[in-house]
Amino acid sequence: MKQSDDQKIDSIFKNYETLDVTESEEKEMLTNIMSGIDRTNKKKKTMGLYNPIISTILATIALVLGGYMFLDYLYMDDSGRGENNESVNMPTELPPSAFVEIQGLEYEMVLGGYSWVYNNQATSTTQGKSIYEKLEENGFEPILVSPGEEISFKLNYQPEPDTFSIFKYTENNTDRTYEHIEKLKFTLPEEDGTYYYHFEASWLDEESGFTSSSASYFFSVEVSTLVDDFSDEDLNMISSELRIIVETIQNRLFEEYESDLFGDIQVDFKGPIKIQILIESTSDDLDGLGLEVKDLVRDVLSKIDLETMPDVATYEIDVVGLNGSLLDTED
Amino acid sequence: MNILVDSYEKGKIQEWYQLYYKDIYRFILLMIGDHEQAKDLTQDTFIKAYETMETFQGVTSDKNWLYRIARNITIDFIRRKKPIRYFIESFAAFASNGDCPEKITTLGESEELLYRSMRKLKRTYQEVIILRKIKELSIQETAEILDWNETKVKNTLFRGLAALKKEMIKEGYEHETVR
Repeated sequence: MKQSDDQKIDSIFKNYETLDVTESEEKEMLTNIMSGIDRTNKKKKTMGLYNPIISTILATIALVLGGYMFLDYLYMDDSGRGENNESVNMPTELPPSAFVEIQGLEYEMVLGGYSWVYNNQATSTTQGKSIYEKLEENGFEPILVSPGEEISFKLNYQPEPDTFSIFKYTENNTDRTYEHIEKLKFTLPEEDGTYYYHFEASWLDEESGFTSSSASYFFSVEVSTLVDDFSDEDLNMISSELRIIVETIQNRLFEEYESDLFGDIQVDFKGPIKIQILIESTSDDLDGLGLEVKDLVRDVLSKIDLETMPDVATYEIDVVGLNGSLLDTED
Repeated sequence: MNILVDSYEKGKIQEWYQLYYKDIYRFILLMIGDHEQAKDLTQDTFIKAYETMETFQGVTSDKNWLYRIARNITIDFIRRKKPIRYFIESFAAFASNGDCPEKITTLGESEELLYRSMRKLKRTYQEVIILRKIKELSIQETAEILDWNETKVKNTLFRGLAALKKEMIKEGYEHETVR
């Protein structure tokens, strides 16, 4: 284009400055603003202030791929697992429920023997049954894990126990080993096999310093290298397909919102595959945006047709505000 | 005490309105192209300004602050309206002036053509062109309103104008013959 074109365009731009509202419209707008202010005035007192900063949300999509025995196993089997209750902050009559957390999933352990003080009254049971019997009785199937997995313990009770210990039993009851743990965390063995664990937690009496309450919990795991059996080729293939999904979602989000966003895949094959996408938005309606993002992701996933990719069996999408709160985006 | 603060804030809004309503209205009109909606969103801008006045610390000029609010409100509006706009646009191919508002059509043919071309651009291009070329704000002011750095303003404007010229030629703009 020529110089004169630029000048002409500039003069066209200038002409837009003549766009205006009529005098009566100008007055009407001011009246509306003032009455709008009076209406919001009452709200303002109770609701606090809206802060017009740019909000940021994080959409996490967890894909669970079908076709993997292992994953099917994890998600089809829900016998008494994965239940999580809110933490109890007061004394309870019986020992609290306790969970073992593996790869973000929680499994409730089976309560064994205990001695529990409540209201100055002690209740105790003797174990009577072996750890194997107790687990079988409660229908606890070994949790399938990959070697060297880190796990942690959670109790629905405050305060946390003062001391805790772990005993490991092997399948045929040939040995029992004591393992010291500093925190409520623990690393599972590297070798394949089924292991039975006895977790014991004790609370000390504040005055005497002696143990006042203690409880035993049982769980079992099956360490298997099965989940690491994918060839490098398989892994490359799957991760490149996942990248296509992430890119498609990114492109769609960009088209719709032109937002600055960022995608990240976490693939570990021990649980749901996670895709996280960070979205910046000027909207103050994050809930609404969250719903739209969910729809968009769903749409992308339904259209995507990847030859080598196993079917996406189920997927969950969470949209989280940066402060960590789960947005109310229920359908 | 509250009554005093209240009447002071209301007075401030009236003052700002008289000074800036035209700027804000034009900015929104050029962004969304609908006169009635632009009026509504202009009102919303000043109401929101009143609601959030306490958070306005004088970091930016009051004008730039109002622009920022107007921009947020407009983007949010565009975002919510999007599915409907898509729908309308698929029919607009048959209409001669697309979604060019009457207000702009009456300015003249070149104004209409430029506007239609501008509407085809990315939102960020539109914003920077409106603020820099039409509102004639400085690079620094534009950067403040858009919350970008100055380099991004310069680069985006440069690319935006190039894209605009391309669109204009596509729309049938003829080169001025050089004398």
